[in-house]
Amino acid sequence: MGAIRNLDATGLPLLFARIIVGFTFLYYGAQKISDPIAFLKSIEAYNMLPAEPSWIINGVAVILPWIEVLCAGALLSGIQLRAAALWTTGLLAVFTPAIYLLGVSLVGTKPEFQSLCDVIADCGCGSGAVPVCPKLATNCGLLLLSLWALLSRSTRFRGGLIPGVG
Amino acid sequence: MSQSSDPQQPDPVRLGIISGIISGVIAIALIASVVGLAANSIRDHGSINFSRNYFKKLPVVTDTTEQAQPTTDSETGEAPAPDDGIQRLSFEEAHDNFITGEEEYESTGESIYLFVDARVRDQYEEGHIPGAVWLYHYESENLIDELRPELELAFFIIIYCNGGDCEDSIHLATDLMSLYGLPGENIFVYEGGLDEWVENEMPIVSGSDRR
Repeated sequence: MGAIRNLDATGLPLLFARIIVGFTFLYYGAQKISDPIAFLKSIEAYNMLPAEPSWIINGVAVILPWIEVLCAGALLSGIQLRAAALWTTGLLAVFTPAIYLLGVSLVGTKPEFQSLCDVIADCGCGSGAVPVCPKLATNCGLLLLSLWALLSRSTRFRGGLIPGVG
Repeated sequence: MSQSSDPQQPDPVRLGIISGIISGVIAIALIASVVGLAANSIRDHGSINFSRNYFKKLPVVTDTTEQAQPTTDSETGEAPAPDDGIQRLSFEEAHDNFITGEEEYESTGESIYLFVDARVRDQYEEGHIPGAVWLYHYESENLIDELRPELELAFFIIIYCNGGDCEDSIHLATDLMSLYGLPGENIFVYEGGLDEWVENEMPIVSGSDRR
């Protein structure tokens, strides 16, 4: 624990977490905003939300990408850093198991999908159809970085990463 | 008199941090909602209608009549089509309807066979089945009025998308019946879609013209 506290005190893991999670969410959020219908279809494929009343799933498709972009902005600017980290942690904690379940549900549906790591699916992340296993590994890494940004006690690198902001 | 902190009392500093995080979470959600709704309302194409269920399913009715049976029979060894009230066409059936429809169109200038492309405009213009009209499922409420006279005249409305995992043809077929009131017996889905059509070296047309 002492080593982790010392590492955290340097502020470098926090800085790393903010940059990686911030730019990742900025990119994927922007992709979803550019094509909300593709994102709507992806959410529907998870079967996590009811089709009726329709405003729930439609509202998520419209609002969630903007939450991602705002979280990215907050992580990079340092404004509401912990709140943004809580959002990204929550989103990753929900969608990472959902991607796993989506992948499992697709095993055997095509001759080439023999195992989970053979499955290629559109997870609705904004990256199109991707292999499920690398996507799960990436998400687990992002989840750890988000948690670090949320729980870090470092006083270094809490300000804006963009000059003049935060 | 010395003051000692009560371990049962919550730390005010920690409480302040937690309440700050919670207010930040709510603020992000509120700002995202306002910006998201505003962006959706001013979008020219691809906006989402909050009141529309884009993934409507027909109530499943158990029917033993011949018409309700799936087009893929057990003799072929293929899995039966789902019992969701949508009539499906195999490639051979779609092919035969296409040939008959084109012959009819060439001789009379009209046809009772109408192919409907449920994909996005760019994909339609890249290549579509000759004679197919463009009716993107997610913008169908803006396109239906112009196409309704032709849809009402057709006895065989054959809807397709890309095939494979694409379900937009199924969703559009459902909406044509339940939302736009077209008779279900006239509506068919060609599930193989454009991918299978091209694999079988059938003709396609590119551009915005139907033929």
